[in-house]
Amino acid sequence: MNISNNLENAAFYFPNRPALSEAGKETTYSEFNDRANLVARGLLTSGVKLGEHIGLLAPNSANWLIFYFGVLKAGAVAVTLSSLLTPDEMTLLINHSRPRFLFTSEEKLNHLKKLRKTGVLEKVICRGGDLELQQLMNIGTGSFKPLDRDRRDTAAILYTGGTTGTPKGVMLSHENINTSGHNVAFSEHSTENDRALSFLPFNHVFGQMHIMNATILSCGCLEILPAFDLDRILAAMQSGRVTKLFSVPTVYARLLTLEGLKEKLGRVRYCFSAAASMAAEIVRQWKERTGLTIYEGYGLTESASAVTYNHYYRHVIGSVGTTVPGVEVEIRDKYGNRVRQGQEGEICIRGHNIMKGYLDNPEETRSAFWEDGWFRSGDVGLLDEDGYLYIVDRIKDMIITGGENVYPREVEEVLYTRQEVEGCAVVGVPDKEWGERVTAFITPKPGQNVVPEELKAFLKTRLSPFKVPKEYIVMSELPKSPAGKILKRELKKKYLQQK
Amino acid sequence: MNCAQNLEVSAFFFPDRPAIREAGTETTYAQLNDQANRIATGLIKLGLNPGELVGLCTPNSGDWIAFYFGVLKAGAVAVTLSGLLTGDELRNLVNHSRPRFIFTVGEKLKDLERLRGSGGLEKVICPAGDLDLQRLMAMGSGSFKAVNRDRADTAAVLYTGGTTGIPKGVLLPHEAISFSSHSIAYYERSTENDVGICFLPFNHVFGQMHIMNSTILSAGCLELLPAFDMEQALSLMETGRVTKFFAVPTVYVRLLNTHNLKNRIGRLRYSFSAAASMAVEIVKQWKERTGLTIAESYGMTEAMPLTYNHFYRHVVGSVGQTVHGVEIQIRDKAGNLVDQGKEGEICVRGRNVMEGYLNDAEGTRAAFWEGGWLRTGDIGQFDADGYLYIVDRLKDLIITGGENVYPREVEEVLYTRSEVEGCAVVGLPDKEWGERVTAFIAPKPGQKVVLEELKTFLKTRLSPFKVPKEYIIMNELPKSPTGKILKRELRKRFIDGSK
Repeated sequence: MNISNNLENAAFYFPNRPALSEAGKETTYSEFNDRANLVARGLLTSGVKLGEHIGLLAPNSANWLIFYFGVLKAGAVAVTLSSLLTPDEMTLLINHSRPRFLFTSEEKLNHLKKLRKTGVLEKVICRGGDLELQQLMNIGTGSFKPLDRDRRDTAAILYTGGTTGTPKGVMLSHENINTSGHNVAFSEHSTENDRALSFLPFNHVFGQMHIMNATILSCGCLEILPAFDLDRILAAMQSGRVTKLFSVPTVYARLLTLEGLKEKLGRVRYCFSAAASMAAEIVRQWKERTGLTIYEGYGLTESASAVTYNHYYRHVIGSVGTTVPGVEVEIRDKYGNRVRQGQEGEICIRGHNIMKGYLDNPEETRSAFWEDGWFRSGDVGLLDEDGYLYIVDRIKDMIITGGENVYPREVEEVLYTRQEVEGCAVVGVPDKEWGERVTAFITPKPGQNVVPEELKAFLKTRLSPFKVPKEYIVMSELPKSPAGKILKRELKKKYLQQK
Repeated sequence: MNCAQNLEVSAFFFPDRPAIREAGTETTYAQLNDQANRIATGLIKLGLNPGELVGLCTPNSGDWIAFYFGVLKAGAVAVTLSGLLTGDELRNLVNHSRPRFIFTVGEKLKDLERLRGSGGLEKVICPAGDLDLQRLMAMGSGSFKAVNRDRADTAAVLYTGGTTGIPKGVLLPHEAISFSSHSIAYYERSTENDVGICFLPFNHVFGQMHIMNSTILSAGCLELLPAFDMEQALSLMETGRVTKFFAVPTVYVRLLNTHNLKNRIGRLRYSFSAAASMAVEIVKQWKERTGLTIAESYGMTEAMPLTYNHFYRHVVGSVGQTVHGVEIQIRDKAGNLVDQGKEGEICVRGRNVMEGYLNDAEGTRAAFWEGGWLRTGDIGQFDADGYLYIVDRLKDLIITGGENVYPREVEEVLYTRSEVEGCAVVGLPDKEWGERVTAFIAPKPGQKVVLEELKTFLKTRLSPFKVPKEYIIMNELPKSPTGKILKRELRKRFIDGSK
């Protein structure tokens, strides 16, 4: 089993259909596959062996994908790192994952050269590096078939969960990725006629698995953007080529501030959101304005994306849907016992999509699983009687104030019903009296004003008193991860520094 | 995980859509689910525990499906026996599987009486039996959720391997059935708008998994016929309500004798064949006459579908490419991988593979190579594009004068003759040659087979040692209930006859 066979097959069925589209330039499946073959041959000729780590540290591009599939075809492991890493983070993760070669972009070269001196990197592949991509491809010639791997062999390593402590490099096997790719394609009824907007970073599970690998598996086309850029996203949609919009809640909120939204979407037939919890209010407004449902999934890096899907047949607003084929969810208490149907508890998962473990981190790996093999997501949720999953919140985001539990998400949902609120995040900041003090960070919609007293009075009519934020901080922008998640940790840090 | 949840999910999404149509009567998904719930709760009231075996021994019917899902929902195991079994054959299998209860028809009561007396069987459920289905359902309740089972727990036992020798009860876990049903629904692009015609017996893997379970999963409708009846099948298709046709090669051959075939198949969008090897000539003629491809799969009771040929690119003569998540290897006698393109035994690994054979540890051991690779007993080879070609059954191979002859190769050539409706080539014991290549032929209605002509023709197409030395014309070839030509039977009849 080798997931790069999915590319091989797509090139066999549809050699002349576009696989990649980037800045108006298209690459067909047969070209894509040929180039990935050249990369694989080049890597093997350069001495790369089965199971060795090869890094990717660059923004989204067609070459990123060609390199990724080249690595997999050669039977090596793709370590996919964010191109936005700071030099210190780069050093930490490269030292941790020890890739033999690294595909990157020119501006990282200086730092990487220093790093290479310490002996961790053999070759840096980029313009001006030890080798350019084209040179690597010139080494390899002839036809090539992916090297066979065991289904349990690692295919890709994705880093998750911040940069403090020992890094968590999620090892996903060929079977993990194949299971998820297939489940996504099945749930979305994907076909070769789809074209997916792909601005979410390929190093992230959403961009790499849900969008990219599932699109290749179903022989569709990826419309590639290097990063989130509202104008370029709108231009791509307005060209009428894009049929599937993949995005995160913050981007949907931003798009909702635009006039003439429906026309701006072009031929988009399908919208999907994941990576962060989606306020029901945004889904409703989107439906009203565009006529389209925002489908949702729940997944983690550790689950190679899809755990649940909400839903082709029956979409339930506020839920993340029902489990995808072959994946099981149980809600458990803190001792690992199943709770009764309808009760809240930790979402635990089992299936062939669940990671093997964290790279060189047996302690975190051990604590991520119950003894019977069920993976602990760290999220609090509940299942309704129809099997729809509701995410209550991240366990670690829960605020304890005066002994009461507050789930920030509940408060954020109410804030999003206010028309002046574009984005918001509710966090607990240390407080002598309350332990934690519920605090709301808010960005207003362009041209609108947030009046904290008014907001507070409104919240009091909708929430128990202890849940109502004691403090309101209005900002022009909330700090976000490259995947569009609001960084609560960052907010808290900044807030404390200012105090 | 319980594969009966597929019915619950379909009933949730599409309560009012038809699940079953039988002799003009429709059962909706809500009704079917309600019936299955009543049966499950009725069985539990009779004392049935999870993991216990319950038999089904009736021809296809809506009640069969309701009972099957009732058993699964109760967490028990469905032992599905051919409705054609009587006397010793029936008693042997009941003795072997020891179901606690059995659902059957009145005619079998006498055969089962003795077993019940000896304590092997607790209750026979049929009219005039210990209780009938109506009474069982009246004991139960319509609201019930399937009992949760482990993915590795057995869901169904299907018998294979003919009527002589030790019966082999294939243990299929919930995960295997769920996995395969999804694969099939994915490849066939099944939707709730499909109506599949089903005359193949539900005790057989083709009828039970490929047709029934995968249709229920995709919320389509099953149009039931008790057995294949050409006029009945055609008149159903003519009404335009059947979209999917599932049959074995011999049925396609018979249908090709029909005049005006294209008009008689109505709105059929999909035709599929499995369970026996399909002659290339038949696929070509079918395509010419109806415009439809005959999609094919290679599978077996022990592993359900392994390959699929093919939504995107159908290659006539092949059984297609490996289905997602399944692995196939071609191995030599010693269990070593052969070179790409070489012939060898087809071995398979994946979530679709059985746990083993019921009460037969030795048979189970012998069926697997180390590492969970199931030995199919079939000989095949892959082409460079990953399409599998079945050469023949290992055990059907004829050795004549030291040369290997694969009957299938000879049969393929025979099928190119317009006068041949059915044929089977077997090896009969011969003093001189070891085995003598012998052809059994059924001519098309109104046509004549001239032996000399046929032999001359075969000599122009095959090596001399492959050309049958003997030709036997029959009105009809003996077939299994699923339409496989019974070569063992032919051999036996001929040898008995010539004594």
